[in-house]
Amino acid sequence: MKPFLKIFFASLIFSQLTVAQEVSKLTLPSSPAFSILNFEPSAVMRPTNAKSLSTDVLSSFDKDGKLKMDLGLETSPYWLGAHPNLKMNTYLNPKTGQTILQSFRLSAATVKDTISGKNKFGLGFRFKLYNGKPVINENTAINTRNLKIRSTINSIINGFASTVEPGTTREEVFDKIEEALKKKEISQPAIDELKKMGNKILNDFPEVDSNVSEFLNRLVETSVDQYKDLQTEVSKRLYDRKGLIVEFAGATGYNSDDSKFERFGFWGNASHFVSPDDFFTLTARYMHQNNDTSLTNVDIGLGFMKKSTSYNVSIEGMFRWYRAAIPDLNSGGQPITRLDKDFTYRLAVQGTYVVSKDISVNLSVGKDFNSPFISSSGVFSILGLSYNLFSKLPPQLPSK
Amino acid sequence: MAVKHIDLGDKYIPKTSNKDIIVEVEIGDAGDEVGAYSIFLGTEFIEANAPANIGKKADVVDKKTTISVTIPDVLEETNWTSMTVFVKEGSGAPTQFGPYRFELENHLDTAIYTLKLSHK
Repeated sequence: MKPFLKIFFASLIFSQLTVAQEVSKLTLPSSPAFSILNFEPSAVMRPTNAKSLSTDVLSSFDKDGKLKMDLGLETSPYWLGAHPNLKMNTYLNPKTGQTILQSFRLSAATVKDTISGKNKFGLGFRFKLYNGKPVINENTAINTRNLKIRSTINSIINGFASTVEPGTTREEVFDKIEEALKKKEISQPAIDELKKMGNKILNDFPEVDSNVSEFLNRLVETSVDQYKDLQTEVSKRLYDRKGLIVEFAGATGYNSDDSKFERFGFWGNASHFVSPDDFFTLTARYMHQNNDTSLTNVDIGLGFMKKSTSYNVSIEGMFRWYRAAIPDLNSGGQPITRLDKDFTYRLAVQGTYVVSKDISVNLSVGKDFNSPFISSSGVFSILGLSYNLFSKLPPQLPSK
Repeated sequence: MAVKHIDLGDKYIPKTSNKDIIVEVEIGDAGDEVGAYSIFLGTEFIEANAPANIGKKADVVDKKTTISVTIPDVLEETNWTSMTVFVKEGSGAPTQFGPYRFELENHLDTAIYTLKLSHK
């Protein structure tokens, strides 16, 4: 039997597949409010401006003024409006206050507990204190400069489209555009490329001297479309950071039927990105839940992750101190509260290998936390296969 | 990757007859390193991505100044774009037009602002 198959069957036999196993325990929840309720709403509102925020908030109540259940809301207050004074340099190299503003996100969720039938409400936040430094290499600089050149060309063409006088021929206006581009030291190959693009769309404008403005507008649209990959690349590279990134999150869960805060949690994470694809991460979190059983845990964990286009590997260890107060009966049948305090840990090694454009293999091996409620060894190994049936993109490597 | 045109109009009456009129544009929402602008007087291209001297009062009064600004959205956090135009004569305080703001429908769309300033 081939080694791969041996591993596969061994994993099937010995693996302890636990649904609750998360890909990683060392990350901050992307939506703390959802995380604290252990619930992913079916409808999540993500308003991007003040008007849509107010509409979303209003639509969250029914005709009797009661909050609807099974809803989620995520928003970044800073980005609800325009910032005419925000420069790219400030955005990429923000000071602490600006980093908090740019990264601050609020999340909220409502859910009806399927077991108890009680209505629950979660509220959370997340922000960065430091966001490392942008990775600006030669390619990034060239791509940004090229996108600016495209924007310059398009603004000049649009300017001529807006000012062209009736009776002006396409040749005349194109000569003027060429003159303007040369004045701004746009390279001859870029000008030639533009001419080629113009010739391609000429067929849509058969009358020689008419529709010059429309022709130029179409030229701008074609030019924008032609350079969408460049724009996408520039956008993606804005999020490559290295250095120290420090992030915090917090959330609370409220039981509106019992009028009590049932859960709250705080997360802190410091990651050092050696490069955008290799980083060390340190996470601390405090979680408390106060239902029939009260459980408090403090976790501290350390991890390392390396990504490449074909694989990723992560190693993580997390230590947990917990205290559980569990209602119980003593030998005389009288109700008592049993206190359970202990220390436990989790160790995990995870890897993903992209086999082909549509297939990736994922393997997780390790030991999970011991639980005061379930007695088990906690050892797990999970072998999985991801297959993209319809996506044009290659399978995604799991994040962190 | 849609292109959205935002057409604007306003008026700037020159305050002096012997001083150069300078037009400048500021692009906001972190679009300054990828966005660009160009300035026209009448049908004549004057300048791009730099302050434009459009001449004195007599040169501009019968014409329109056109400011064309192209801003491709690159930030994932927001689709807002914005630009502000400043017109200055001599050492006087600049006259500000805007900031004009527009939220694009989708990430990676492009906003094209066209502001026409008449001078009488």
